[in-house]
Amino acid sequence: MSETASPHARVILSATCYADAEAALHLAVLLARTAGAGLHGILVSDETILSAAAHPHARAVSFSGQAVTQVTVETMHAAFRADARLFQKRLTEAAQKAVLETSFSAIRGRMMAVLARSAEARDIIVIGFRRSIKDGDALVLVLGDRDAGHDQLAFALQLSALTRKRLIVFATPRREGEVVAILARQRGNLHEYRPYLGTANLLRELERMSPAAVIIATGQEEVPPVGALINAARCPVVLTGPAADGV
Amino acid sequence: MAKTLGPEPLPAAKLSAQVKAEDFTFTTSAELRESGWIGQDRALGAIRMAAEMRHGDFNAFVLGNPGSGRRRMTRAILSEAAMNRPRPADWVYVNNFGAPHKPVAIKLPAGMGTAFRKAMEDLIDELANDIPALFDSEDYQTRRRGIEQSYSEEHEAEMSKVFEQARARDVAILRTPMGFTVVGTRDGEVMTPEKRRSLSDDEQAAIDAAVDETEQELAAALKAVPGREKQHRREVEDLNYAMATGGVDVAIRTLREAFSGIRAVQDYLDAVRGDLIENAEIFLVREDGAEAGPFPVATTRHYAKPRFQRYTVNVIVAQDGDGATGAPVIEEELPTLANLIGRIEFASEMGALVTNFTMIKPGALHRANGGFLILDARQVLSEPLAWDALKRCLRTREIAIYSPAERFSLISTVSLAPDPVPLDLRVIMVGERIFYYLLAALDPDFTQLFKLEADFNDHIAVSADGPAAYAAMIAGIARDGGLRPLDPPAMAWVFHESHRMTDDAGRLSLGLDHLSDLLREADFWAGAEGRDVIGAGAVEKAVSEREFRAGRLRELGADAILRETLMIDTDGARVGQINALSVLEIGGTRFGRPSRLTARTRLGTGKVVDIERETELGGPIHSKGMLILQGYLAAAYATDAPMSLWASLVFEQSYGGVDGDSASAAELLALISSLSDTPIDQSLAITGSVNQFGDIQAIGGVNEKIEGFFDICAARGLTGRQGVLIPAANVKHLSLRLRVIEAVEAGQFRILPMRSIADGIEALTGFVAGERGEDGVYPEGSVNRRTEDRLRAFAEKRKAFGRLGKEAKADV
Repeated sequence: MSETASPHARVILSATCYADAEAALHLAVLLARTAGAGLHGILVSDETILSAAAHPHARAVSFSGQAVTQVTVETMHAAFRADARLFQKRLTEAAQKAVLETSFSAIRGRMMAVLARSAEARDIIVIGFRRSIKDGDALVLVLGDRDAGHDQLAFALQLSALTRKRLIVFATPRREGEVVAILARQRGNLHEYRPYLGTANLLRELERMSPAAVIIATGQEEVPPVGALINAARCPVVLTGPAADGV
Repeated sequence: MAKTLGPEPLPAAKLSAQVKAEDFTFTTSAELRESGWIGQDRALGAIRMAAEMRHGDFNAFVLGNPGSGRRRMTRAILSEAAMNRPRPADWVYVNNFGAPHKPVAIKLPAGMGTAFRKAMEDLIDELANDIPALFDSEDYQTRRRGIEQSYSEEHEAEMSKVFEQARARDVAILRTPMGFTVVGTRDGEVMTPEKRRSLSDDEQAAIDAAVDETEQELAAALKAVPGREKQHRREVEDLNYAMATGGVDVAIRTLREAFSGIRAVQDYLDAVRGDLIENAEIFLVREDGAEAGPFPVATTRHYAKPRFQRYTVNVIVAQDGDGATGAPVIEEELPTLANLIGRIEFASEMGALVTNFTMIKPGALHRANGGFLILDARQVLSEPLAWDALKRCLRTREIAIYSPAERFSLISTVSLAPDPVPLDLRVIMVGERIFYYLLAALDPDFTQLFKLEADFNDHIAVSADGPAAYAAMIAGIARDGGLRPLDPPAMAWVFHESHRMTDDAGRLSLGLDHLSDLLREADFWAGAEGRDVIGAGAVEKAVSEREFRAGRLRELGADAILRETLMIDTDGARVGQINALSVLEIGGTRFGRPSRLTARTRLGTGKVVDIERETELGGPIHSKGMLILQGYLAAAYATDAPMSLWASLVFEQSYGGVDGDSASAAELLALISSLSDTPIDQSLAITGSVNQFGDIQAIGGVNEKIEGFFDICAARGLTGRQGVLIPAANVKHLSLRLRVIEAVEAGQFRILPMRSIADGIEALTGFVAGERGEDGVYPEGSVNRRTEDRLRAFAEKRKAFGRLGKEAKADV
């Protein structure tokens, strides 16, 4: 996919902390290179988090499970600023190494609202998430009822090869035949088809899995709530195609 | 001048060895079969003993002059002996997986070193294909996935539970730059402090309890991650170990069977197996792009990749494959320390010097182990530390490789201490005699380690093996050199030259290189004349051309005499003046030259001044000769009177150093001539040393001396009176050039052998020397009588001067 002919304008990597951004940075760079798109980073100083920090009875736990004391709005602001600097630095380095155009912004607001304001048509959105365990098992592509011959499946297969992860495709049973046929043509044939039976079922499935990333490429009507999706999958989430446009 | 007195001139037959073409019965030397090496029984016996004896330390030192064929004969004997010895073992160095700085040396049956290396390369290639295939297999992937899934499912289930319970308790878990924040919610929104205050105390307490509980559950789930990861890693490692073990065991089985009888190889393969299983992941490294190479993976030489270097077999000594027999005979032309004992090479990596067992290189001792090593003594002794290392190896009977830089702490880097290799070989050192004698005198280890001396003769006595054997040897040299055969006259010429080389008509030279050079030059001239056989003319031409090429200095000297720049008389007579003879040796050429020697005498206190010594131009042997002749003078004349002589002796127009005592007879005769006031015949020259009894002793270079004077006389015109007085003891050394012999035959030149100084006196003065009669005095008119009278007269005058002096003192 050449840059001039790219259907995607940017890959937007957004996160509320550096740890989440860094966990999805490699994936975002691969996406940008594969799609021939630029890379834009957004660190969202989430108002919900700031509000929680102001709460005297809120509790904080580090990523390794240790109790954290003395969390105040000021310390949280300082932590956002520090994470923004680090995020920007690492993003720039990674983009330079991959010869990608890059930009960065730190925005206060709520994650989905910020993305809705920032994203444009043809952007790919990556929501960073640092997994508790280091490596995920597979890439998950949620195709819903979309045509399997569409670019999204080929795109996901490319990513799967680059990340050396198998691909699990959720598509409606109606699309099973064509999806299975395409997956069967792949080298090693490790990929898997699973039926897409609606958002609730998808969230339950994702809760039991341990994916490396989830790519949402459904039609707009099939996109589950992003917050719920992240809570269920606990890994980076990629919104592409109509799913991204619907943010 | 009175009638001719003194010794009879030598007949022409005495002037050289009588070798004639008729002595040889062959038509050409091609008919002669080589009779082996002649005249070297002593040396060859010692070399054979060294070659065949099995006891240690019986190494041999081959003494002899360069060009004697010592190296060729040594090589031939050792090669023959080596054929009867078993082929020695192969040696390889392999990695010591437990201590990489101490590589392990393994002994293998002859010819198996290379096979072992190849087998290990095949093993690595096989595993490089098999192990990735094993780990790509459905079996492995399924089992691995099972572990991964069980691990992640366990964790995900726990995290899901934490999040689910949090949602049920109206508690939100937010991801923040500082970790997770756990806070109560109301209507899906984070509860603000204001909202919280609007709740009852019980409700607030319930929310706080829910937050605390969620926090604890979340912390517990997160804290369990490292332990779970550790367990997961262990399970994956166990699976990998099991897979690798299966693959390695199958691949290594063939190798084990091929080398089943060799304990050291089996031990090594055990270590290799363990290391391969432990490090199976190095077979899983993928290569992308150019590194993958243009060939399919199956044909790639995986073993050559750096990460597999640790499994390399470094073959130090490899005997030839099947069919080869015998032990090695190695000649090391550059016996540096490293070339003898081997070396450990280093490579520069990021500015540091690194090494490993594959950089161990063998030395000559490794290659010759089990056989023979021929070394040049001069080379070994001139290479720093080489002699020391050679002795150490012979003494300890093992080859330990070390670096001189490390020994002297010149470099500081990680190095190796390879296993020493047991040593069993025979060293043959070849060198000049001086090295043998110096080593024997100065190095106590030498005679312990080199118990045999093989001393090569420089010549052979004519009677020992007869001309036939020597002619066969000459024929062999021509044959081996691809030269034309010799006809009998040419052979006689070569014999003549051989005598000339030894300066002895009774000996033939064993200087094979010199003889070979002569034959090759003769062959060249025979070829130039279009002949199929080397004839006498070709040999004569070779000799004359050689003399001509080296004759510039000789001609310059002769020219100076003929133009009377250097004053040498070849006729007439003069008191106190005599023609002495000297030999100059410059480069590879030697020639004789006459020198004028003069003596002046007067009354004195018994002192003979040697002007050469006074001016520090005379050497110690010359001075010794001077003192001897003074001894003769003192004992031969006027023994009842004090020696009241002052005399001076000098080599006229000599500005270089003079040494040797071959002019002592000439010096004594010049003194006697001066004392007796008897002129010396200038058409004669003399050489010879004298002892205190007046006997004439042999000197060196007699042929060149005679020819040197002859050439001057011939240039001026031979008179028939001219000739040379030589010690009678030197007659057997005569091997004169044909031009001199022909002149003697024609009565134009004379060679006079002297036995005593009296012979010289009579030949040179024409007067009787005189012997003391019963009355104790020399006969009237004899040279000795005149000499004694003169000395008595000096004594009387001295006595008279003494009396006058006393009277003068008394008058005062």
